[in-house]
Amino acid sequence: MRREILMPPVTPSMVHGKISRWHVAEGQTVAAGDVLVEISTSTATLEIEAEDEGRVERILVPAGTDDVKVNTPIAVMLADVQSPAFDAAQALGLGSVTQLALDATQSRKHDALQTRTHTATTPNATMAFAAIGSAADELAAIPRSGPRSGGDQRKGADQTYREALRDAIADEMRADSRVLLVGVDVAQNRGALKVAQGLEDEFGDTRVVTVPAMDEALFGLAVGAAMGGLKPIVEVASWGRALDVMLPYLTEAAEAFYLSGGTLPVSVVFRGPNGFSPGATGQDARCVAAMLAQIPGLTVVQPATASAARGLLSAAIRSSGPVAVLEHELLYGSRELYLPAHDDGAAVALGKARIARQGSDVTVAGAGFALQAVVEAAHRLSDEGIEAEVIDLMTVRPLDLDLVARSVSKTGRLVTVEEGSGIGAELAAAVVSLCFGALKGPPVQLCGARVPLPYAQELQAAALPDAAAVVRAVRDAVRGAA
Amino acid sequence: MAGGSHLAQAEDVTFSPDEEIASYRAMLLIRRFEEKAGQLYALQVIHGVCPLSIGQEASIVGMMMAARDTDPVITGYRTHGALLARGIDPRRVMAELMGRRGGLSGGKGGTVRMAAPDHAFYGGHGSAGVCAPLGGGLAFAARYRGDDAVTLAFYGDGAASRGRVFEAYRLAAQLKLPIVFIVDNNTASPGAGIVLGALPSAIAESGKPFAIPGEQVDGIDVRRVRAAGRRAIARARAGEGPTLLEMLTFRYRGHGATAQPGNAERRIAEADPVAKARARLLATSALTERALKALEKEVRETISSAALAARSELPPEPHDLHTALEA
Repeated sequence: MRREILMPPVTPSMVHGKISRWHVAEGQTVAAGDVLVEISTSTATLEIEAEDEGRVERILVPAGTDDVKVNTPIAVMLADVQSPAFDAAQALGLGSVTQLALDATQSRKHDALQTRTHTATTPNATMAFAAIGSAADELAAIPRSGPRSGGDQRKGADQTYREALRDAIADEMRADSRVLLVGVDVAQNRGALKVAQGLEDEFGDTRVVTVPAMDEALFGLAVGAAMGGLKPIVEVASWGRALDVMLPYLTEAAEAFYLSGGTLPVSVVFRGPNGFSPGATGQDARCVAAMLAQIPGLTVVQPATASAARGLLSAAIRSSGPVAVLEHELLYGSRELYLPAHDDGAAVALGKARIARQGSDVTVAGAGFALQAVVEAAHRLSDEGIEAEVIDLMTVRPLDLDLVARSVSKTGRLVTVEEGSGIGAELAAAVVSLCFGALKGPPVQLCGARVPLPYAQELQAAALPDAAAVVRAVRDAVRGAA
Repeated sequence: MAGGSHLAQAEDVTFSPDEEIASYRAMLLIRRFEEKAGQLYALQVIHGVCPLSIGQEASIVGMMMAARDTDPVITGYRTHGALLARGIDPRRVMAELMGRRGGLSGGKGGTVRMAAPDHAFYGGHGSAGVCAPLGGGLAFAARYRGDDAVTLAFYGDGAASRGRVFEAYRLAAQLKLPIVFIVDNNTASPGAGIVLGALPSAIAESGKPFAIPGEQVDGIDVRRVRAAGRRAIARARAGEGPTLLEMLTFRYRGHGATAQPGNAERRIAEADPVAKARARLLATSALTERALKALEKEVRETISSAALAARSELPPEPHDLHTALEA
């Protein structure tokens, strides 16, 4: 039977790549294991092998073609077997998560959040919908146009998280010539995260600065340039990995103003994905929110939604001090997660939390990707008659303890949800001290498992709080543990 | 010297009488300040650590003479000499060492972390070698603004071995950053002990893999330092990128130094940039002995009164703990 070979994603975030070389010609018969084609991206090169025997009928995309979108048919094979002989995902060895992602993408019937809701009821829910969300969103949501300036009332609300981040950068770069973006490969390849799409076209390579992968030099360059009066935005490909090298520079940035007696301001933004992404392990996938929250002088934000991403990144860039912006690999393609319960017109600001959903029975506070599970859990709990007030913390240092305490004074209960651990402890201690009399039960902390994040899907799913875990924790908090 | 390194060639290293006097005074000010700081440290008026620049005065003063006052300077943890050479009031530096409210950084930064951006001094930095990548950022910022300033980054031979310094070299070379890396090879990195006389070294060639030119400089002679500094700074200002200068100096404690074996005292005198400058002043009759003594008295009194005034400054108030939190 005739089958198309589709351009495979070499990496989970790959949007398009280059056909660097065909190892076969039209009409050629191949055996299982023969190398068909070599695919390359800015960061990876992979040879794709034939999974079964067959004959190459046509090559649709010639060698040397750049910017071939994932899932574009690149060749037609004739095979004798019923099963997909040249299934790209299996050829890549990425397993069923990628397979699901490709299926979802090919069908293009679900947008990201619908897919997420749907698959959340299946086993392995967290991982499956996360992976689908990621890959499908990548394809659906990569902005085709360049950055546009804002002006709408609720900036970011009609955008993807990725577009919101890009537009925040573009807005601030237009408004202030001291603002620049620096990172590994942020120019031509728009960074590993594709947030920088279109920025080099508008601002040129003097303001969108690509440096080789030398993190000490990169972080030093950014912090030194901030000491010299610029406002650099540094893109990192992974917070968990970058932190080991970044720490001396992050600390310098956080300390310089205070220790210089208020003479040396350092306005610098470090931004990039934090925490879990499928298949990443250990320090590559750790959530660093609570670690960063221990550095005096550093503001740490963790946007959960597109509008928060746009508002918080803009505020971070305008800040006179250093800000860490913790994004999330699985949110880049996402759209607005929730409509704020009350739109009081208050601008997104550093240090301010937001009520994502009003409720009377329990306060559930979280930030970043963890809020996805919280929001879904709140909907499920509502069906059971438990109305959760969901707080999107937005900034994890300094925490908006006023808002949390006000909410807990009303609901009498607090459940905290986080991918890592430590922020919930701060909140629990704060409510015990600030509104002890209002508490109807002990605060409950739901954290990521205290293990280095392991590799297997099942272990990753077990390590991270998902909606079901939030539902259980809230039930326990409200009804008392069984 | 190590093979391939080249000391300053026969070139114009002469100073005018005014330059001889000004450089001697600047070096002597650092020497007397550091001696006083050493005394006060021994008396525990200054606590913590107190890294001194005794023996390295020529490197600091020669480079400052080669640079403009607006050229950014960044250092490792050894800050006092550069601050004084930048014209900052010794009283404010001394008050900072004593942790006083009137100190340069309000008693918050201390010896290692004080800064004076209004004098283009961007701080001492304690983590060994971080001032090299940070200096790259200062250089980047100047060029980004269209300013032709050249950044001077000072650190020691110990820091010069750190990996981060090599990353800084590589990026500075690639971006052709306007920066001069100055390694004060004082032959006294922690654990190395004090070695008198020439020590085989090729730190000047550390930038070679990145095609950064390097030069070993007689860091005892302020005239040769200025000449090398001028070459490196001119090169950076012309857009040709970084240069690495290895200053052969050595540092020893001016007071309370442990006894050195053999003819150590004479060798120290030979390697003393301040004593050498003084001898030149007398030999060239740039100053009469009487005028010289008047100058030395003036410097001594400047430092004494700075130290006295600093001691009379008030300590910070507890509420100062929560000031200077946000710009």
